[in-house]
Amino acid sequence: MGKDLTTSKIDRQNILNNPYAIEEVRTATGISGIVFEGEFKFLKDQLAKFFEVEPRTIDRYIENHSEELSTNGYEVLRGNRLKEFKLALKSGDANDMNVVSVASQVGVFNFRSFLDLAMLLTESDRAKTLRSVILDIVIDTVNFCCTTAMYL
Amino acid sequence: MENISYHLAAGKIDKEFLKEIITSIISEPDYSEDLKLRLLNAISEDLHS
Repeated sequence: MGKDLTTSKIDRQNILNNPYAIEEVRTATGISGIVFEGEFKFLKDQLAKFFEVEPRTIDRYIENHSEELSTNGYEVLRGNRLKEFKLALKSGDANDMNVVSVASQVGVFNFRSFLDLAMLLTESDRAKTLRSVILDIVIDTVNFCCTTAMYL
Repeated sequence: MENISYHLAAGKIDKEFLKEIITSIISEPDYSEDLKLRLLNAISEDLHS
């Protein structure tokens, strides 16, 4: 069986440590979330919908890869930050508001941890497609760096 | 393909791997995830060192 991103933590991290490539992926995918503290945040239910999996599948990945996802920006909002997040959410989608309105803590992904989750999920065809797009873009950025350096 | 030839000339892609790449180009709609990942690792060796 071949190697893939779902089984290689070091490859996932190498990709996530390439800010230029991450920016290119963001532009190419056109995915947007809730703007909070200057960056896009995504709720578990939003990602479950995006990846066409059950929310409990996302829960399982959060549980099994909590350290890696936290390193890449997944966090649980509580207290004042949660209040501010709910205010930011009010101006957005009402369905998302229902999810967090009564919660005393809410887990949120930023774009980087969203990509990390996409590189971990084995149950989702959409995650597989996204992984392929991510690899295309990262290969292109490396090619661009190599060929540009050649002409300098 | 021109990028592949560049990396081939730079010695980052060997004969066996080139064969796999060409086979994939001919017989598959897109490179597999495994091949893309190996290609990425091969061409970014200098960047990681």
